[in-house]
Formats: sequence, C-alpha cells, structure tokens
Amino acid sequence: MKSFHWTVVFLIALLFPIAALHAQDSTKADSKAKQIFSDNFGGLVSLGARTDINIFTAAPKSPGIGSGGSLRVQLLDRLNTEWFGDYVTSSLYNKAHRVDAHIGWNVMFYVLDPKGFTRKFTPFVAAGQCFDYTSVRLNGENQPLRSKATAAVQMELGCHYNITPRFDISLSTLYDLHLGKDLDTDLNPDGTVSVTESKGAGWEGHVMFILSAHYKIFRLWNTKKGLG
Amino acid sequence: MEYEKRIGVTTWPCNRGRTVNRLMLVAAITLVGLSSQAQKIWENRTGCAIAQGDLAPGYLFAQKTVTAYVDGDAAIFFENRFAAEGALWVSFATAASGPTGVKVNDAMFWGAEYHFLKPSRWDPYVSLTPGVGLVSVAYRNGEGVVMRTPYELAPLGSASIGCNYYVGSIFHFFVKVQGVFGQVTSVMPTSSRLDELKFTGGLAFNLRLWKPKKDAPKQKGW
Repeated sequence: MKSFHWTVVFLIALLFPIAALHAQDSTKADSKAKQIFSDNFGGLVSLGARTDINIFTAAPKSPGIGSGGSLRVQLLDRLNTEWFGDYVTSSLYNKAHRVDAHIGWNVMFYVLDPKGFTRKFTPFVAAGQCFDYTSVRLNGENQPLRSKATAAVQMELGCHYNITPRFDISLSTLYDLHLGKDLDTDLNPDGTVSVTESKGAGWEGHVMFILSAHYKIFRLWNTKKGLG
Repeated sequence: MEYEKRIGVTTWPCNRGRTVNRLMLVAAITLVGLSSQAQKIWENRTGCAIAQGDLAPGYLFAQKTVTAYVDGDAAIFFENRFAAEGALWVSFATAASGPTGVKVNDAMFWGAEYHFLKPSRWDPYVSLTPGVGLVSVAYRNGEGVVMRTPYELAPLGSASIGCNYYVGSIFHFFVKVQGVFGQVTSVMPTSSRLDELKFTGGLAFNLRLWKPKKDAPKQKGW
C-alpha cells in the first residue's frame, strides 16, 4: 500500500510539469516552435557512451551493470533531448540472472542557463519514456527462461561537467517506473530463488546511476552557425 | 684463436664483447632519439587518427590470474584535446590456474578520450570507455563435471589513463592502463566478476584524415 502511495506521488510529480506546459497559451507555443530554429544552440547533435549501475526494486540487493550509448539532439538553448540504449546484466542473489535491454528517450531541461556550455557545471532535470525487454533465468543448465516487455516513465536528475563546450562528462540518477507483466524474483527462506509470473499488469521501480561522456558532433539544423 | 687468425676474424673476449654490444645499443637508441627530436609532430591534432595493435597483458582480480590479449585500438581526434576511441581485445590465454574460471574474455570498448596538453611530444590522457565482453566460463556442475558456458555478452565499464610520446608525424610510443569492471551471468552456479587491469604499450601509427577548417564560424564563448 505504501508503495502505491509513492507511485501516485511520483505520477503527480511527473504530470505536473506537463500540465504547466499545457497551461501556456498557443501564441507562446508558436513562438517556442520558432525558437527551435533561432536559438543559438538548437540543432546540436551529441554522440555519447555510457556506463550504468542498475538497482531493480524486484531484487534491490543485486545491482546490475550496464553499458550503452546515447544521442542528444538539442532543441533550444536550455532544452535538450536524449535517445539512449543500454544492455544490463544482473546476478540475482547469485542464484539466478537477469538481462535487460532497454531503449528510451528523455527531454532535458537545463536548470541554469548553460551559456552555450561554457558554464562548467550544468545541472539538468529530465523526464521521458523507456521500453525494456527483461529475461530472467535460474542459474543451472536447462532452466526455463522467463521474460517480459515493459514500458516505463522516468525522471532524471543530473549534471554535465563541460570539459570543453563540445565535450562533457555527465553524472545522473534516473528513476524508471516500469509498467507491464509482473515477473517477480523471490529469495525463499531456504535460500533458493523462485521466479514467478503473475497474471495481469504490475510495476517495478528501477534506479540507474549513469556516467556518460558526450561530444557534439554536428548540427542537424542551424548549420550556418557552426560548431565552434 | 688459431682458427680465428687463420680465417681472418677477430672476436672479442666474451665479457668485452657484451660491453661493446651494450654500448652500441645505447648509441643506437640515442641516435634514434636524437633524430626523432628533429622530426615534426602534429601542430593540430584535429582530423588525425591513431591506431595500434599489439599483444597486451591483463590481470583478472577475481581469479587472480594474468591474462593475455591481442589488442587493437583506434582513435579519431575531433579536437586537439578530444578523441573518440574504439578498441577490440581478443583473449588468447586466460591462464586460469585450474580447469574452471574465465576461459574466453574478448571485449569491445567505445568512448571518449580527453588529452590534457596542447599538441606536444608528451600527450597524457584519460578515457571513459564502456564496452561489452564476449565471455565463456568453465565451471563445475552439480556432479563435479567441468562444463563450459555458451558465449555470453557482458556489459563492461572502464576508464583508462595513458600517455603518448610523439616521435614524428607518422608514429608515436604509448603506454596505457585500463581498469575494467563487470560481471558475466550464465548457466553456471554463480556469476563471475570480470574486474581487470589491462596494460598496453608500444608503437602506434598516426594518420591525418582531414585538415581542420581555419575559418569555421564560432559560437560566442566557444
């Protein structure tokens, strides 16, 4: 029940900024759309590599290690988007193993004006979606594979450290709320692990600590403004 | 000695010969060093690529063994101080002390390098390179029989420090130490850690891929 309350609070917190955006009048929205092509840093595309530590609420004491890559497409001076993919493996209580492949996207808002990324520390908040394929299998030969596909909403808090305006290292924490088939891994009192599939939908929390490095490769639009 | 006199060859007495050989080696190295100082090195790294391939050792902490690889690295400089890097490591000896343990530990890494200094002969750098391993582990099953896991993909995190020394525009010497962390999960009873230190060093080659634009427009403050 407690977790349900937290879920509701999380969803409200997630939906609040969206409602605030809808409250803006259409004229402002039009000018925002035009701003994409007038802002100095709109159109910048960054390519990056990332490594992450993953904690799933289904097995919080069995963190997984992931690696992957991401692409950022900047829309406005203070608004960026990130498109990512990760491959994560976890050892569940040393009795089972779990593999996650996920792709997703985020909209990032820079809390402080990055000043064209000349500001060394650029904190950001982000929200987005993620799609995940999970497989769990007990250790040992000929064990059955259980799998699920889920969709998730997520929020992220992080900070870029801009080594140069085009090159940054980022550290962030992301919380995913995966919605989909319920696949539980339980540690039994006798030390064995059981994997159970429940009928109907369930949710699973997922915390990621992400370390990434990105480089601004080219401009998708505003190409005449150059890259520096 | 008589035979040597007859055929007109003079050999040094053993110890003296070794000393002369050493002196000649030192002289040769010094000459190479002096001549390389005269060679030009890159004044602008942007647009240059470096590549190397060599045999490299590693140390797997979990199984406390030295490992051996064939390693190929390449990097492309997009700026004087930034390069995108890719590397391929193929294991040919994981030297496990027993019949069980990590037997195949191939890996691919990708990421970014930051070079601390402007172009000069010395070029220290750090890099952040996540990757993925292709791993096979030998283990004992419940009946004590040694089995091998199928090849499994294992996500890896890694960071490295290194230094290049440019002796000319064509090639440079380098050393690099790479710390890797990760784990492989498969059918074996427990997962295996892949935490490792990898060492590389030797000769690498440089190639200019494109000339940097001198009059590219700049953003304010960039």
